Amino acid sequence: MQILIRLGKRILAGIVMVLVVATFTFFLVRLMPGNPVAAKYNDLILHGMTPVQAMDQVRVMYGFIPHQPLWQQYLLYINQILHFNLGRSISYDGVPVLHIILAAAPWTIILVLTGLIASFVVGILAGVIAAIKRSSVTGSALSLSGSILHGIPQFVMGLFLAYVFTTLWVILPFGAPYNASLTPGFNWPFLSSLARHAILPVATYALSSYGGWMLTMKSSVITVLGDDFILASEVRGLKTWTQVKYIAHNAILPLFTVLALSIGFMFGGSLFIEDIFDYPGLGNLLLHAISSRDYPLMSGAFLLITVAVIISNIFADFLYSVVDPRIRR
Amino acid sequence: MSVAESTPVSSKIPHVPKNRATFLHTAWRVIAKKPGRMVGLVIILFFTLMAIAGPYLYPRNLPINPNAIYAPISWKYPLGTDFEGTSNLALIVTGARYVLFAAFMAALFTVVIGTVLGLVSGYYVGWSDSVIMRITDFILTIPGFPLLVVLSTVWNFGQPVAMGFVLGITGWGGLARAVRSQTLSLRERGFIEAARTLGLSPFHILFKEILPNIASYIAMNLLLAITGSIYAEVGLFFLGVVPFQANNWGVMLNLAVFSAGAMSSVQALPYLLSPLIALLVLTLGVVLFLDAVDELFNPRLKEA
Amino acid sequence: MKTLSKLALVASVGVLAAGCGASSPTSASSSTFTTIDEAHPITTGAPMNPFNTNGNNWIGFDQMQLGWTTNSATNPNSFYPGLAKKWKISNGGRTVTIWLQPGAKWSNGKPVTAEDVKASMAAAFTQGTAQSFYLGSVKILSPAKMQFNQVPHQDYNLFFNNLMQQPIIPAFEYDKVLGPNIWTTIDQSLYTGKNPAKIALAKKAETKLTNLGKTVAAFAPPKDISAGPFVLKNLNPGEALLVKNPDFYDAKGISVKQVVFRNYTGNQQIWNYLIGGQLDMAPFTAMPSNILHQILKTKGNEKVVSPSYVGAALAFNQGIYPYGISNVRYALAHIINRQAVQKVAEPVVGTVSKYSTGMVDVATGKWLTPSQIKQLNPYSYNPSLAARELEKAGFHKVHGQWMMPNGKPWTATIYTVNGFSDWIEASKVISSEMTAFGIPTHPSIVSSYSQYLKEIALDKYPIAFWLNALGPEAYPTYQRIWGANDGYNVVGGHLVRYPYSNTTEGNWLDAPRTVKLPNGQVVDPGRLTYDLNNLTPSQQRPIVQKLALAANASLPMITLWNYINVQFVNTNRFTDYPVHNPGLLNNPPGVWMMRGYVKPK
Repeated sequence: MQILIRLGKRILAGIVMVLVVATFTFFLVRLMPGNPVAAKYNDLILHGMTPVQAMDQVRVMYGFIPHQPLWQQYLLYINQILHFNLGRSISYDGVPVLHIILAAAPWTIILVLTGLIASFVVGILAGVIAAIKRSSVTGSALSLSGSILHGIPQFVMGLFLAYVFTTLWVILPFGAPYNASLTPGFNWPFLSSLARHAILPVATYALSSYGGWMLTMKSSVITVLGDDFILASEVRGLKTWTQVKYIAHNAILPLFTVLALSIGFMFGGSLFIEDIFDYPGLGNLLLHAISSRDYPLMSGAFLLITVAVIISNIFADFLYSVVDPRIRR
Repeated sequence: MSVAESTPVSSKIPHVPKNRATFLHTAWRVIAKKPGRMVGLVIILFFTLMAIAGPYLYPRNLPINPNAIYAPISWKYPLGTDFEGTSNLALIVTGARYVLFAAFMAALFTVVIGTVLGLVSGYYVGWSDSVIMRITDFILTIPGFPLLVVLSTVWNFGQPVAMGFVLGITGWGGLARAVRSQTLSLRERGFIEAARTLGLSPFHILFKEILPNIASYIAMNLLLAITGSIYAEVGLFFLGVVPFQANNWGVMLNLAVFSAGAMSSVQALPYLLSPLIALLVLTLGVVLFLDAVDELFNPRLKEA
Repeated sequence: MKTLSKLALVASVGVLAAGCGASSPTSASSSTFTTIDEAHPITTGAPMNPFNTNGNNWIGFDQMQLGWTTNSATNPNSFYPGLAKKWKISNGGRTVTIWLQPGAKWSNGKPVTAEDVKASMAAAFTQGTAQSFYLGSVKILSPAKMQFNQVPHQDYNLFFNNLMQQPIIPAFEYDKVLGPNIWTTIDQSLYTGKNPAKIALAKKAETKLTNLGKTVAAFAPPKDISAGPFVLKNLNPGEALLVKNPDFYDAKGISVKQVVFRNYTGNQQIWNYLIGGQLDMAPFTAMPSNILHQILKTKGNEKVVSPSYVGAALAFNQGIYPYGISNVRYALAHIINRQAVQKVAEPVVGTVSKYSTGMVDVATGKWLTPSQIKQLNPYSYNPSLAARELEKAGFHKVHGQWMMPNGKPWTATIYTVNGFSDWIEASKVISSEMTAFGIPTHPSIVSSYSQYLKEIALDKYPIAFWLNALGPEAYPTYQRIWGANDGYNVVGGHLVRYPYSNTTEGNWLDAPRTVKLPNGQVVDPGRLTYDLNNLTPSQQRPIVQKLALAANASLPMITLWNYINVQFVNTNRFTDYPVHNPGLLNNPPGVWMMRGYVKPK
């Protein structure tokens, strides 16, 4: 019961947070200088369209730039958000922002979640081993791998993987989430194509967050190893398995804090990773919106990323309260 | 999201501020113990020197040479050249200042804001605590990097201080929360109780009694914040969302990948690799040195 | 502890296996034509609608027009047939009669009729496009024959040209969006008389059309209906798959079975695909020469060059001191070594601009007489000449740095845009050259093009990069100098010039109103540019000549290089590309296929 009350409070706080972030981005984004229509026009010309064709293409975009006073726009915007409407895109001539964002969101979420789970599992295991065998070569090697991978910035990792596997040694595809000639659905060719296209971005996410998990787990296990319980159990000759269970249970708790931070980090990384691998998710969409000064799309994409982070945090917090009885007091 | 705080191992015994000489002496002993730590220190000092003196070694506008575009590595061009025949080495050396100075400023802002808010919040529990923690939650929840990208289009990042300020102001959340939780546990300790009964001012208690006890943690965070900020700012330039004027490692990366085709052509590869290697070496230096800082401040590890 | 390390081992092996288990990427099947549309990215959320700026339609593939331009510099009315089989231009270009292809069908089997074309024009009215070429009326003479007229008293010389390039959409899809009374509204909006009631009605009708335009642009037909050689089958955010449309009127002439469009977010992806030999045709992309060599090393890749009518120029805001002084502009033209700039910035898809005439050099050669070309100042690289120009204007050098006549040291900033790597590289070279000459200069890179265009209009940039010489027609070419950016606007059919102080209307060039030509004649270039609008090519010639001389003499911008249209084709899977037909080559590959080119091997 307490868990549910706690969850309810969290969700309420989350909703308030979303509104605060929405307000914040609304005003921030409107401070940006730029003329979306002129930019598109010149862009089309640079890409070989005649001035006449280019003008025809962008003429209607003018209509989607809001002209009301800022506070009216703001009230309208908040009202729309409460009705799950994020307004209409400028650069897509009035296509609802929600429609565009929802088409892009699954790609980011799939990558982030897969990367998160992969790095979590491997990182935790490696962390435990590194802690227990901290004076052996295996332990030092694992710790070093953690420190180095943790130290390499995400975009460096992405560039490196892209260079090795799509240029130097072309074994993996690049761009597009799957081969367009396949029909999406629960069939083997489609799923395998999907997986092959996702390997590199997922590996980038996983490798760049593995180090964090590993190092945190290691230090957490070391702390737990020093606890009185372990000393006592050693004295009393309890079974190794009981010790391991104790260690695992107590050492994993601090990782939930890291989880909260890590999720934000992963979603932030989507900007680099999707840019480098030309993968069509929220990060790429946000960059497109920024460069074309498509304000509604920009606020929408940013808000959705924030919502994803908030939801994941609530989920992590919920898990935590299930795992750790102390917090239920 | 107040997920339970991990209380990073801190000194259990109140840490009596030692005088400076003995501290430096201990520090030196700890660093000299392992060659890796020495290497780390040397790398950090080397880059710091580069940031300070680098720009004076070259003319303000680096010379170009249209006949040596993407020249291979040679004595004249130890790291090759870029798209206009400018030495990559010169670009790295002159570009270090912005990168490192901005990162240092960012770390400073992070640490100052995070520490002060964390101390205040943890010491005066009550309404100030909940207000500060709500703000911290907010900062922690907003995905930092996308926020930076959006901010960068509004803010002028021409000066490293401006860049550092923005990085700092978006990055102090985690530190504030950790400092708060440590303060919370410290304020119940006997020596703080004693200080309170002696009637010492809260300022004195916060900064003279509590702060020294979490100094280790803050020192580690300062270093980590520096590397984190370097990645963030280089990343911003790499994505090309920030207007820029001067040479800078991130700009080099951006131009190498997006306009020199370094990812597809071996000729331009040195142009891409130069900033990457600079970044990685610096990272390596910090990682190696962190080990020493860890031992220096963390009594548990000293025992091990 | 043993169990744990084993588990970790299994897990890491699993990750490795996932990483290495993949076979090599599927190469495109032999009858699939793979290419990239440089004009718009592929977005799953965007509608399949040609009126949407980023819509998922491909000109020449599943989006048809009445005809396809041959890109002639001197005859804008030269076209290849599209949905129009033939046409007649009469009444001095004010009336056009069109006969549709007799067998034209949509991809659902319904015939393409004059009603569809009429609905397309109605849609063009909602987008403001039809107004821009002064379309006055559309008459259906038979299901396959129709007549178009210009608005009375108009004489727009690109009427036919623009009409032929309108997207043609199916009436049965769009009629429900356009509504039954659309032509009543259009006719009301076209009223030009003096009756106040009707004027009010016209205003209301215009607003109605504009609002309707938004609905039309965002309209998402449930599936792609094409009258072209291909129709969209599958779409994901990175790729679009089009298959041959069996209902296309000349389906038997099309030998390509499938077309794949790849998405791209940056040029480097196109280079990568090209180096991998994955693209059968790649559009114009800026690239460094190391990449060009790499691309040409790949088996089957061929470079195809055709003229392009775009130039890159350095433009001056003459309202900002000291760039209003003509000697300053001449001096800078002599300081900049255009050879070096082009070599660094645009080695592959650019040629050094010889004359700053506001046109590309090819066009200059076509419009001007040899003796006029001799009169042009080539502004060759010559620092001592530059110094003389500056001294003439009262500048002097102190300790190696130039001082302005007002006594202040001269420093400069050159503005360019992020993502335009050629401009950035050029700005760095020019900065170095100017600094070496004694004018400390640095480049400043603005983060997005939209911000750049906004700020340039707000007079924030004294020296900035600008695309000029947009051809092939003469009017848009000179509009890039003496057009909206110099304050010239057409308001209600009259030429108006907004003063420099009026930042909202964007006069940032602030060029002098009149220019003295080498022969002493004084001309008003803004007026002359506007006049190009209504003239036939032979009438345009003397005006273009004057404008070229005026651009060269007053130097509002220095043209640094002309772009050349470099495309790539790959002959591994297909042959018979229209490599010797530059006019056709500038059309999308779908048009090549309609003209009988591109055969699978």
